[in-house]
Amino acid sequence: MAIDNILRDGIILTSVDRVVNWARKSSVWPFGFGLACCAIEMMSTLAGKFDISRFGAEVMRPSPRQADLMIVAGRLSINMAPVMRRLYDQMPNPKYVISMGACASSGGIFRNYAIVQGVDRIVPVDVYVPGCPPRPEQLIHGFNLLQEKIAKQRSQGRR
Amino acid sequence: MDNLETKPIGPSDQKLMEINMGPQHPATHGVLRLVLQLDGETVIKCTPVIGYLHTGIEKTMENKTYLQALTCTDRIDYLGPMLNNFAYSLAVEKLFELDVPPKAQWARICLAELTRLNSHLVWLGTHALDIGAMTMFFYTFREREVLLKLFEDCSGQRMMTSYIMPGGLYYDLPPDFDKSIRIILETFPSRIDEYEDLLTNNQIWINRTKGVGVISPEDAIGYGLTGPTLRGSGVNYDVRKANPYSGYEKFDFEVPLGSNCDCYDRYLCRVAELRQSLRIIRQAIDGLPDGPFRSENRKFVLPPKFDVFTSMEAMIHHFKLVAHGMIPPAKGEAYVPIESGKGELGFYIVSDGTKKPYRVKVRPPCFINLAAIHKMVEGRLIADVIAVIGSIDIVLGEVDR
Amino acid sequence: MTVLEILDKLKAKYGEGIQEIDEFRGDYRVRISGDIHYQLMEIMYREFGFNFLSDIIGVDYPRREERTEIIYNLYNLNTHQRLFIKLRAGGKVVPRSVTDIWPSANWLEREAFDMLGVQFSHHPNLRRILMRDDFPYHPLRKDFSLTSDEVDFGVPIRIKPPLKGLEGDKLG
Repeated sequence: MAIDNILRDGIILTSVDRVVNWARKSSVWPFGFGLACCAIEMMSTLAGKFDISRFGAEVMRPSPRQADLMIVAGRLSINMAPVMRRLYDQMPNPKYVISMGACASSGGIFRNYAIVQGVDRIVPVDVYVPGCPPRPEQLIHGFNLLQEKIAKQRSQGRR
Repeated sequence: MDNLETKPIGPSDQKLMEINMGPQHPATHGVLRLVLQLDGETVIKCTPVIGYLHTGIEKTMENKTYLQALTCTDRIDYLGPMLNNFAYSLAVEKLFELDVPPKAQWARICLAELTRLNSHLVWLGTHALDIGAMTMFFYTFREREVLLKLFEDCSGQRMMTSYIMPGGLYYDLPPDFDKSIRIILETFPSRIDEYEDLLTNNQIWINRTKGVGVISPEDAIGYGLTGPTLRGSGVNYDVRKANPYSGYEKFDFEVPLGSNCDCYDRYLCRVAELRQSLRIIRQAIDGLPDGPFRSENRKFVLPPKFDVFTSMEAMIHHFKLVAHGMIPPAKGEAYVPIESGKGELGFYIVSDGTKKPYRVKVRPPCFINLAAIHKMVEGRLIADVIAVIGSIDIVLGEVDR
Repeated sequence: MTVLEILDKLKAKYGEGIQEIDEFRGDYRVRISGDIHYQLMEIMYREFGFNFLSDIIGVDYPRREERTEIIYNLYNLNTHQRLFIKLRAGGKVVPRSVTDIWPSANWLEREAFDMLGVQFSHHPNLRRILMRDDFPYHPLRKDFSLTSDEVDFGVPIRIKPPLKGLEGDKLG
């Protein structure tokens, strides 16, 4: 209907979109799903020198129900895959996933029976950060790309 | 506060509750799952369930040549990657009967001790964070950044360096190696004093860790514990003193021992090991000899890259070794244990005469140390489980491989 | 007592049970038969003082009838001596678990069972440890392929379409 179109794409709601997206991208709280070596570089990113909380990721929530962003840091084994899917399902919308490292993005150096060849087989991924392990600056760049992606999305309706 | 009741309350007549400290938990240092049977807050039975990070590293290493498999070893105990490289290189050198020049041996000891510092700093930061002292995390990671910058200058990579290879080192030491290490030797002792100021005589820390996680020396030997977990119980077994490797017999250092077999003594052992590591590094850097950084045996060891660009024989050797791989001179098995940050680490390599190892088995100190956790926590409270996991210092990459 | 003297005593006591003694790069390896396995382990612990079981290594030789070779890495904490004891298991030879001599063998034997399929008798809890309990294969056997193509993971995995120009994702 015409009125619905105006309400959906009109100027008023675009401004609301911008404000809501600004609020969302400036306070993305990560759920650190640190599995292996990349988790240590993720911890370095949280520590003093490469501080990620200046971008809004103030606290790392241990519970998925309180987090927005799942950083899959490390190699995902097939034993852990059902657990990870369950944790992803427990996160409330809107939720994002950063796949950190080569093993999470594509299986990395482990091309074998035990490692899932890319976590995008299990959960939808927004940003892939390559590296083995990625430097903290790379992870922060990935985080900034995610913030740009959030800024462009529509806040009403489905993502 | 001294007459605080520290004995746990005995089981009542209520039913036991089984609770899962799941694979994803902020305080289990990775994907460890503990199934706890509880009576109120007292742990009656504790069963670890592992395998959530199983990577099949041993099987992957069977499909790679001896030099390619070196890169897989970094990822086993990812807090001390150079120590894994060291253990693997020693085993391969024993199998191939390679000699390593003195400069490489001393540099390896220096780097191994720096890696041990690195590993203990992460342990201290995360153990204190679990118990509640969050500041320690930021302090130790600040120190770690200095060490990681040094590793990056040496090899190009912060963590997974693959720098210690069979035959020597992968690249020559950087020109400002001496200067960087002397800066570390000047600044670190005061930092370690800072950590001790914060924790050692802190009443809360003592209450959380004294008397917790006790395992007697006989049990510790029976369960195969090694490293500071064993030395906290008073057993004097350090591979660097018992079976010295790569020149450790020329170094003068002490092995700290505990007496009360609890978490507090293990903490004191590890902090004392930080100081002893600095002592070894000082001796290594004072006596670092000159010379080649890699073995000259061109049948098995790659020539340095600079020579490959300039000399014809080096190019031919490089081609043969990369295309055909290192073929061992004899079929056999080799095992050289080293003292890693967690305990006795070794690679048992079985070779069948081809360019790929037939079987590589890692002797994982964290896996064997973790098996004794049920002895340490049964009868204690849930909060003690967190303290014990931290004090055993597990790395799930090594437990699950 | 040096390692050679220990080996002489063992040979004198067990005779035929000691099948082979091998020295390679300074380490001594003794291959024994399955009949004397448990008594020999007890003697190593009580009489010769090897109070530390470092590791239990399993190696798979699929062409042999006893396809798994188990290697016990024994260490004496007081004299710093190390000795490797080998046993060919599988088929009719079922070794007895040494958990009551060295409790560290509990998890090490479970791992050997999980990865290689070798059974131990009198083990308190012989279940899989690294893979999930109903995983149907033993991964470190030589007839189990490294890559994923023929193996059922038990987790639904979406198959990606193969890249153009390549045969699909098979490891060379």
